[in-house]
Amino acid sequence: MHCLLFPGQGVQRRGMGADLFGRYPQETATADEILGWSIEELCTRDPHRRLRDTRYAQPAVFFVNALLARQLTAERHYHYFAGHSLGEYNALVAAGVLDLAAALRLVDRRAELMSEVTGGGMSAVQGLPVSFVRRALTETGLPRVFLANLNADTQNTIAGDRAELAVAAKAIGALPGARVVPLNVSGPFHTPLMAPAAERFRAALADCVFAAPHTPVVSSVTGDVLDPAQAADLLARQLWTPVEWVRTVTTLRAAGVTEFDEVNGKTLSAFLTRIAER
Amino acid sequence: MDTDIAVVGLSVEVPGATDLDGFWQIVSSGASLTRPFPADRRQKLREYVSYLRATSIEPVPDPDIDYHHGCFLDEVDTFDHTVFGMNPRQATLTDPHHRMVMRAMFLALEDAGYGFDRLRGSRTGVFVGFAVNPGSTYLDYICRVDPNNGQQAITGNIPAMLANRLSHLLDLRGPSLVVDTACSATLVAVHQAKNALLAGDCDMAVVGGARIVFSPVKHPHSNIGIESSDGVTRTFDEAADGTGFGEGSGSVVLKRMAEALADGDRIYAVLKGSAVNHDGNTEGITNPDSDSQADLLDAAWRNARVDPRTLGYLEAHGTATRVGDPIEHEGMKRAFARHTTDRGFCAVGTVKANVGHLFEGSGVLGMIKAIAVLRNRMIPPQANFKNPNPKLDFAAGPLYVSTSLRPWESPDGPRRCGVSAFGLGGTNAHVVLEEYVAPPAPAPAGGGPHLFTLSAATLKSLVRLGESYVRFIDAAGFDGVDIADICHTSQVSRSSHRHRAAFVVRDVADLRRQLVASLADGAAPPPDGPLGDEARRYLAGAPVDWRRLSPGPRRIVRLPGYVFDTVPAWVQFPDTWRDQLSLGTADEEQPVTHDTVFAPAPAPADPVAGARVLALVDPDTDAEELLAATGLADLRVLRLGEPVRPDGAPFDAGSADSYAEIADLVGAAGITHVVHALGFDATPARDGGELDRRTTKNLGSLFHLTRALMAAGAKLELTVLTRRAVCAHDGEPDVVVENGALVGFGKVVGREYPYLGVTHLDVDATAPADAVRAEILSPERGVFLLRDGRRLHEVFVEVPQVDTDGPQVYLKPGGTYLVTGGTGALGLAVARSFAGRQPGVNLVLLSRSGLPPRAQWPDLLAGPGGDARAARIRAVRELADLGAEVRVVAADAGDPAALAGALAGVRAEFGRVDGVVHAAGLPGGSTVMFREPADFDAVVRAKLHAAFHLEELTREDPPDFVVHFSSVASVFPAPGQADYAAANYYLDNVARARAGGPTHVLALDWVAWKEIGMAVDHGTSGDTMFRALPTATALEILDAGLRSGRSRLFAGELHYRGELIHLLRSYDVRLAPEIDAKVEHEMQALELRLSQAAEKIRATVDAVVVELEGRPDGDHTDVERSVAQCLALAFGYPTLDVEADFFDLGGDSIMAASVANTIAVRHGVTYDVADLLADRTVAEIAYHVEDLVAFAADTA
Repeated sequence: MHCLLFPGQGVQRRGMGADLFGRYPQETATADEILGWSIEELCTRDPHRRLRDTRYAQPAVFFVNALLARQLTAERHYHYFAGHSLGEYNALVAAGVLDLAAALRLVDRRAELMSEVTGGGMSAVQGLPVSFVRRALTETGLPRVFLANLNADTQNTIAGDRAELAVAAKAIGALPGARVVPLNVSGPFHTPLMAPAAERFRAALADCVFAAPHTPVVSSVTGDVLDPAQAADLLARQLWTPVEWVRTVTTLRAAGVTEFDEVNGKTLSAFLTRIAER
Repeated sequence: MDTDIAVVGLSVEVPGATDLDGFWQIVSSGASLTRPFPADRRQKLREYVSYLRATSIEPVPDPDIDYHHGCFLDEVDTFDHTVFGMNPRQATLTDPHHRMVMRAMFLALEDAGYGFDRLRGSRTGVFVGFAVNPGSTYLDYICRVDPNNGQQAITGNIPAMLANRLSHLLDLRGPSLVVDTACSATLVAVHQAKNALLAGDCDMAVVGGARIVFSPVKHPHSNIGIESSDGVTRTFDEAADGTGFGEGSGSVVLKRMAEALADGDRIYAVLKGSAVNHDGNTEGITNPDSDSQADLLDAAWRNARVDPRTLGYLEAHGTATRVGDPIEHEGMKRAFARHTTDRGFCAVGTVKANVGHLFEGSGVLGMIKAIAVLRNRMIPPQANFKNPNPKLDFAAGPLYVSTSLRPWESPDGPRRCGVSAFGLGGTNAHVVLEEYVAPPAPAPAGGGPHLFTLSAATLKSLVRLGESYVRFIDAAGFDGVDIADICHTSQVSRSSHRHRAAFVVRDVADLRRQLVASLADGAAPPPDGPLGDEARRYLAGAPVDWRRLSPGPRRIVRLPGYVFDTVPAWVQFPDTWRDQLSLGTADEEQPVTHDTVFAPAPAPADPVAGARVLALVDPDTDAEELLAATGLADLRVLRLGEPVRPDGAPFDAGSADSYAEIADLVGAAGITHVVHALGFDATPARDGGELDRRTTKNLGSLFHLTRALMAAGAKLELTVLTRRAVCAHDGEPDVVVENGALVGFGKVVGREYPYLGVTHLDVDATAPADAVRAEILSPERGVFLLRDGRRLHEVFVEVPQVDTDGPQVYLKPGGTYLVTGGTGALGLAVARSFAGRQPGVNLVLLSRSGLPPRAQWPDLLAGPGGDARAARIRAVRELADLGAEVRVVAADAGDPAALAGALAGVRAEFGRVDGVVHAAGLPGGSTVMFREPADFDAVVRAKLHAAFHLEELTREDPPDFVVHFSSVASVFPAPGQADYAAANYYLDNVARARAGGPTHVLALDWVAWKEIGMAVDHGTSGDTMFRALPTATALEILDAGLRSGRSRLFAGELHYRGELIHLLRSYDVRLAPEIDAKVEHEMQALELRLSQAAEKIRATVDAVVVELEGRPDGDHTDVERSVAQCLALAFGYPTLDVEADFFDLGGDSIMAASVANTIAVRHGVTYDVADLLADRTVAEIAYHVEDLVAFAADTA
């Protein structure tokens, strides 16, 4: 079986989707109208250097993901969709749970709320099993650093208060085989520090209608197949709970998925090769 | 088929001439350019030459530096990098030859009517004649100034790049190559280019070469043997004694004749034909041969389809050597003699007498001279020719030497000439040229206006170019030339550089007027009208659509060449080199052998309070009894076979589920200390079945337990408790050797997961219970033994000398020796060593794979190289050649039945096994968390089980010796080596325990072998904490060990000077005081070296002056400025834009590593090549670096 995967924030780069906007003029115009600025200008030229800013990066990645998915889903039937964090919105659109415009409005609001949380950061921790990272975090005794993404067997991210994160990164970096790399995001995403933003986001989610999916989506919040009745709650929780990507992939594989495609780069495909068959 | 090739463009530079007119002036006047080596160049080389002499192993006593005379250029240390898309730093690190070739070819292509725009994407071939010559090279020079230059200098110093860079820069799609045939190289390149044109490989070809003498120091050792005593070349003269050095460059552009005519090209001459041959097997490789030269000329004439009687001039190779000139003369005579007996009709000469010998460049220079002779229709005088060499009988032959400039009459047909060039190694080339008589120029079309364009890469060049045009016009350069052709040529033949001028002109006078006016007052705006519009477009940066502007057939005419804006491009040799020079002193010799011993240890540290202890015990042992007696306050005991949790499954030593439950229990009960006491067996295993049970119960359980604790993220102290499992001293009786494997395993756990603190405690029957309690609760880690009430710990000591007090002959004549892992690299090396030491031994090589059946051997041996099986077959044959009787037995040493079968076979054939080398082994490969149990088991079996069974199978008839190949991992394991360390610790342990027995059992803990073996196969054979071991040294240690009475040696030399030596202290094993002192000393020295190196980089960066651009308000951050300094250091730009891209600046992935390192060191952050390739601009790099600096500050 085939599954299409959607990456989240972090894959943005200047020039992404350059040849797509002209091919989807209607969608692009709608996006500009929702966002209030030109998505094409941001993605192709980024004259104000906003692409690394959460506020702009999220709508940009989401929209380019969505256009790329249009092409891929026209070529092949997918049995599953799944997305990493922000990419989960693309999975919902691809599965027919949300329409593109509604999802973009949600993403725009999400980006706004998330970008308002500052003073935090994220770091990738490579080379250690998640249990080692958990133990190391416990040992540091820091109250405001958390495991944020479980991306692959020995690839995780931690996030939290900027100063505490730096201390934790140093301690974890000293473990054998570990490499800690600061990530270019402004907030402590996927940690309890995001809970207030998540609560505010619930208001936007409450206005949304989630249709039944025509293709199952595996949620990166739970690692289980998504129930549309729970969608609003999951998308709010997603802001402050870890991305369970290893579980997501394990579930997909257990369901019989053997082929994974990915839009907008190869980030998630690289994770796949580092998640052992269970 | 028309095989004529047109020469449509050329360039030439020699001392005192930068174009064909200047060159002809030198040739036609018979001038000789020989002079002393210029003072400025001497001065720049002085320190370097002094340095070379000071550092030469063979001292040069002569205090004076004496240079050859020659035809030297004034300067070779400047370049105009702007034209060639290079940055100043790149230009500076590029070989002057390389720069000269680019410049020569650029000028020749412009001369041919081809600017960059017209060339781009064309099927143009680039052919360069070049060789790296003896003596100093620029690369060597700049690397001696700073070895870091080497990496960045690669593309500017590899010979192939001479051609390839131009092809790359101009997007040329034809062949692009460098020919090296020594002195004939550029003429052979002309021949190759001609053939490529005729074969259709390209539509145009540029051919050339350049030559400088980097450092013409007189030194008898560096002479080739053809040098003239005074640097003057006196070809064909009685006083000739060799050739003088020449410097310069030359290039020609070739096209097929028909296309040159169709394109309206300016045709200098016609290349009618050519030939290349080799002298063959002459008396010596450098000896020329007149027959071969005669054949060459004949072949070229046939190729050109010309009658040699029609030749009026021959440009000889003519190196003016006593041997070469007569042979060349003889060759020419013989060639002509095959066609005519006429005498004295053909002039002979060589430009070497004027400009010296340009070696690889000399061929094309001779050709350019011949073209000048054809065009001027004058035979020039031969320079430095006074009295003919009496060995050359000119009067009797077809040739004569001209002593004055005289007209060359040719009433019966076009003038023709030949050019020779001979290589030192015997490759000869000859080309035949014919003058081109252009049809009379059509009447000027007039009727302007026309668009004249002019551009240059710098403003300075543009101004000078304008001035050069005015001078050219004033010197009648455009007389009789159609203004339409001038303008057409200006558009197509000159590249569209950044700085531009454009004039709409009616005639040459109008052009001059406008040039002068714009030079004086700046450019006037173009007039209205179509051509004015075109001018504006051009000035705005658009390319000229010359096809549209010149619809009719247009001709390429001669224009003044580009005027380069040269700047210094030279690495200065520091005059401070004497202070900086550190003549390395030989490293102090360090022992190559070490050992570990158990030495008395001080009392354990104070116990921690509040311990909650969980002990895993085997109820068939006394472990629980001992633990109960310790009086540990909070002790839970979990027995094998009893449920872990109430009503759960019984604790099964081999079941992963049991350990998951134990890990849960540890978490739930807040256990702080776990005692693994399952391996408390009182007596050693007596048979294979018991061994299997033991390894599963003890080693296997430790593996599963630690894995489960890691997976749960547990943090606790783990004591592995065993009973007399570790041999405390040589020959200690009744050691339960198999349980010693747990020691090796325990050493690795903490290195993979530091939250499990592992102590191995090995006790004897007399161990006091409270001492055991103290050890369990002590925060110390490592291996501790309690023997007769004493506390011992493991100490790593030096063995400076292996006492060879054992049997001096350990290999018997006719003895039989079994090597496990026998077809592996180490096994074969040992076998080879044995076969060499004692011819006639029987060698039984045991391996899992064995050898392929003999029938397959011929095919395998004939197959492609690199086949491992073929290599093994060869090695086995080699053993037989040494006189050994060799058997290869396919058997897995870890499989008891297979091993028994193999031994039975050996005994049946040879009787007794006299010695065993147990070299079989599989490497560890994964950390405990990710290790598959089956893989763990295989690693252990290949060493531990195999050793156990070898002992069992030879118990009745013990061999003289058994050598176990153990590993550094048994003392200093790396993460991922838990299984490997366990198995090797067993080998060490068993060897010690067997000391004094009937068999000399010796364990050798090898560090990585340098040339062969497991570490080489896995790419880890470099120096680490230890120097990798050369095979010869390893075999010497083996030999010494067998001649000693030792039971164990650690075979490896500590790499005290290495950057990893500090790791030695991170292990729990104690270091002997002498080792620890050396480590301390070297760590301090290393720290000093690193900080000095970093300080030097910071100082160098801070000294860089660079101006940042790109922000209108000039508002740049400090980090942007310091990042800009790092980039300017790499590229050499005086100004940098904050948004300029690393690659556009001339960066490539090769130099990215060093630039990233500079940035990292300068800012004190971790910044690597991947970061740089992602960031790419000053602004982005600085943004990232600021982030890293803030991150580091937060951490501090």
